[in-house]
Amino acid sequence: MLKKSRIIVLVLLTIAITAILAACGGGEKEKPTITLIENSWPSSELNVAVAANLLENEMGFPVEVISLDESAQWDALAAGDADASLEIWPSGHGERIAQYIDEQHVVENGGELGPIGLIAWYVPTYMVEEDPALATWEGYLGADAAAKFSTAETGDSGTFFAGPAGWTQYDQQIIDNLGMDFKVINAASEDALLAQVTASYERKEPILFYFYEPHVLFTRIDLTQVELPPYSEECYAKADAGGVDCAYPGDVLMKIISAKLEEKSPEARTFLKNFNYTTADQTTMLGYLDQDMDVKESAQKWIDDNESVWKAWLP
Amino acid sequence: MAATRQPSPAKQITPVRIILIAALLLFLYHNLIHNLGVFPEEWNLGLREPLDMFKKWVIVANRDGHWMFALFFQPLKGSIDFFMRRIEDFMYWLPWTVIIAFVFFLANKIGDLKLALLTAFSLLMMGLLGLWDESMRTLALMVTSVIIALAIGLPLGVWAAHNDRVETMLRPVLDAMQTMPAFVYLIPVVLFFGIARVPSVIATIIYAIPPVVRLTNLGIRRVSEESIEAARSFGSTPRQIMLKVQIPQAMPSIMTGVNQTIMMALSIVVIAALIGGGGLGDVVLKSLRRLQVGSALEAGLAIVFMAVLLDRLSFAFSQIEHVSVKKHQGFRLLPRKWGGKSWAKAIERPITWVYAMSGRLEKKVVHLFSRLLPKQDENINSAGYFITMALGLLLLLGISFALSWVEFPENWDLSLSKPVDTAVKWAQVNLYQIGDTFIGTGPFSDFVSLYMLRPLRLLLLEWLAWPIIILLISALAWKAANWKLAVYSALSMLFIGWLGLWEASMDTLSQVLVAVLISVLIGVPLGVWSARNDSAEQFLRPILDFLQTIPTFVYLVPVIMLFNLGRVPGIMASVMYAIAPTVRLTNLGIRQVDEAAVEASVSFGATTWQTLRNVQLPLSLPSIMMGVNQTIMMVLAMVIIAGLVGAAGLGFSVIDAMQNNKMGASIEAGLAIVLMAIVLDRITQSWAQKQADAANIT
Repeated sequence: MLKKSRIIVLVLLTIAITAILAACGGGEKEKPTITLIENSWPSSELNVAVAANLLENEMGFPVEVISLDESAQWDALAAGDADASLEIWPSGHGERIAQYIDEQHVVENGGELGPIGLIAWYVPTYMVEEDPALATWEGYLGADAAAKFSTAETGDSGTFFAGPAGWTQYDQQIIDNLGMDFKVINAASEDALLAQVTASYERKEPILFYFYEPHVLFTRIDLTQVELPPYSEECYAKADAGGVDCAYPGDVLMKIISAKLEEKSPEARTFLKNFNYTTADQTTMLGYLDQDMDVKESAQKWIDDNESVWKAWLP
Repeated sequence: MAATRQPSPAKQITPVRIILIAALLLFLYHNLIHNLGVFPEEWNLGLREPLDMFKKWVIVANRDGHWMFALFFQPLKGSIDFFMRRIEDFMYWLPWTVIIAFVFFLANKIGDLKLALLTAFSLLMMGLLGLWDESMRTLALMVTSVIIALAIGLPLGVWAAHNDRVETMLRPVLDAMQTMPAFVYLIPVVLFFGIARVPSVIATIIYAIPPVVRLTNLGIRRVSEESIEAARSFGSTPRQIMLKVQIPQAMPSIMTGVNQTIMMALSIVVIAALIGGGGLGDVVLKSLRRLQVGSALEAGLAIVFMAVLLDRLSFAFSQIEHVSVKKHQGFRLLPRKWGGKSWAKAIERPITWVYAMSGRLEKKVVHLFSRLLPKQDENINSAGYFITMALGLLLLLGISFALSWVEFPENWDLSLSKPVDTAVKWAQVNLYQIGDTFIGTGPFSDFVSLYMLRPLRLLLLEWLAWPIIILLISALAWKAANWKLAVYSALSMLFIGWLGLWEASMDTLSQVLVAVLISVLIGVPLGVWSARNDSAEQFLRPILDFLQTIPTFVYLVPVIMLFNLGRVPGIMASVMYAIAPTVRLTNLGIRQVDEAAVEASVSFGATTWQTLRNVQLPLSLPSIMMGVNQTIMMVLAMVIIAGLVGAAGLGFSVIDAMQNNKMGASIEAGLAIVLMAIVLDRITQSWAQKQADAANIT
């Protein structure tokens, strides 16, 4: 058996070596590692793959990509544990934008990503083919329409499937103000809503729900947007009083950047702020994903084909 | 039962009866005269505001480099992160062949050939499912978390065993750690420990540490006084007593704790992926978002295989003392009863030969290294094996690099995802409603929703006002145990009200009751069946193991597809996860019923059914109750998952608050879950204990 003193010396030695190695690892690199957050939906992964590829290959930064839940990313950016997240849907993060960006200045608004999110009501196209009136909101008035969409949870009223509670939603207001007899059921996660929609679609059942574009769901199943009264600013001025009775505004997707990145690497920050493309670019890459390419390959193909677009982002 | 022990008339006035009468009077008052209304809002403790303020403060303190972060959290973060990255890099660097061979030889030494084959097969499957790298990352997370958990948990358990005050203080903390849903502390953990590896390790430790602390404490406390006295009379110091007597004797209990800690650590893999833990959990989450049930199942299976690997290996380690001088008689691979068959002998012969050859090789190696080894017979034996193994692995390492067998071959692919996706697609259409009948998951879901959940919710929220429920629960607690538990339960329920979560809690309680009821209705018959039929037991065991270890997230999508968004899919997921203990303990209870009692009953001409109902079930009731207790706790652990599939209640409150940047509110809802879990646990456990005591007396 080793003597006690020897064990202590050994332990101290190990700690010392570890500390030295750790110090070396941190100090000598020329460029700092840029940590990007990807959220679990495909377009978020694609944005990050494109940015990571360019940061690594064109600008020489080591990049680490971390998959993170949307609710955890703000604290990570605030602490400087991560540097940027590239696809934020502002409608789902109103309170956080107010706190982290406007009040505490720990996260920076990284500018627009480019694509504009469209939030709307959808029904499967087979519903509209069966009854063309369902293409517009007037088709959902009255007890018959409500009965068609009712379930055990809502009784006689129709069921309206909405997204997670964290998303901005005015569905109950719109329903009430337009005089429909529907009740809103919140899916607690996007996965849950997707599962319900897909299952109902496969069974050719009636279903009316809240969703958004661009999304891969639209490449898989055939959906029709329900026409609501057109969006206006006056209409949404009534939101606090519960008076919304029109379609949703477009959601201008944005990027968020850690306030600490400016100090860490102004170059990377400029690149990430410049990063901006269109819905069509995203859709193109989503298409590659469906052709059995993985996320990195799709990003690479887009980069190869669109040099003029991304050249402009480089500082 | 009360009548047999207390000869006084049954109409005696007991405190429990007084409480029940009070509850009845209140019930009449509430429903006939004046509605007592909802839990008063003015009583709300308002815990969330200070918590949210604290969070805002932490964010700024962290950015500004407050000493707490500069001197404590940052260095801690840095060293765990460094340690984990090295383990990960090492695992990625090692060729897969070497990892599998290492586990194979290790398992062969501490267990037997069967264990070695099983563990090697589990690892191979992770590769065949196309998830080798992800599995290694998860394995690194597991290894780090478990090592740290044991480094903290074992000393803590020893300390608690020696100090009653420490034990009393630890108990509620451990209870809370075990019942608090991990979702609730994800955000605080991110706040203090950042993202990716470190917070995942911390969250895993918080969740997985209680069993090892508890069972170390329990094991040491159970060491008999006599053996300690004997050691003391030989002049041993307290330190020697602990190291030489108490810990060795408590070893089986401690190792059970270690084993449970490992299993609990594995069950948090998917949740850890929400804060960047990566690995298999991340595969599950991403597949879910794409509704690819098949690939989620593949990642889930890889987690099951990892559970098998770690469970069997740690179990074999715990048994090592008992089998150190084991000699092999007969077959190494096939069951001994096949000894007479010539084909079995033909299979075993080469295996025996390989063992004999490797034994000889070992001796040569030992001879070669004999100068370096200490001269102790037993140790030479193991040392020889491990040196031979190390040499063999080095050789394999060289070969693997030479032939570039480093990455797991991509074309060795056993993809399950396509057939599973097809099956799910088929099921959501064809099982939902069969023809125009009322058979199918859809009508079943409507039935549960309309005729079980709705009336129960009505009962708990409208017919019984909150004071009545508190009285009823304390009466139940008093009957199951004593006045202390009654007061404790009443206070806990009041506290839930003070948190402003009474309605959500009653909604959750109604779902928990329905889930437990369904589990018992299915589980007890299954338990009876497997107690009466060995092949049924054999058939059910792997299914139950599978249901308990596969991450619940994997069947989140299918249950929605079959049962529609709302409360029912949550209940069905809970039943799948929580049914195992009821089946197992019913089986165990019935199998333990005294043969004589059964024979006596049969000789009096009782039919099988009568024997079962009048003898076997009553006698195994304590065991069944323990199973039900565990089922209740597991259903409560599923409350969050239920919230994820759209069930209103406390789980939804946690998720909702988390999504809306309201940490305070999610902690409040988490506390309510903890309180409800502890109350239900104490009451059912005391009740089961009372049943067991009564059974022992009679």
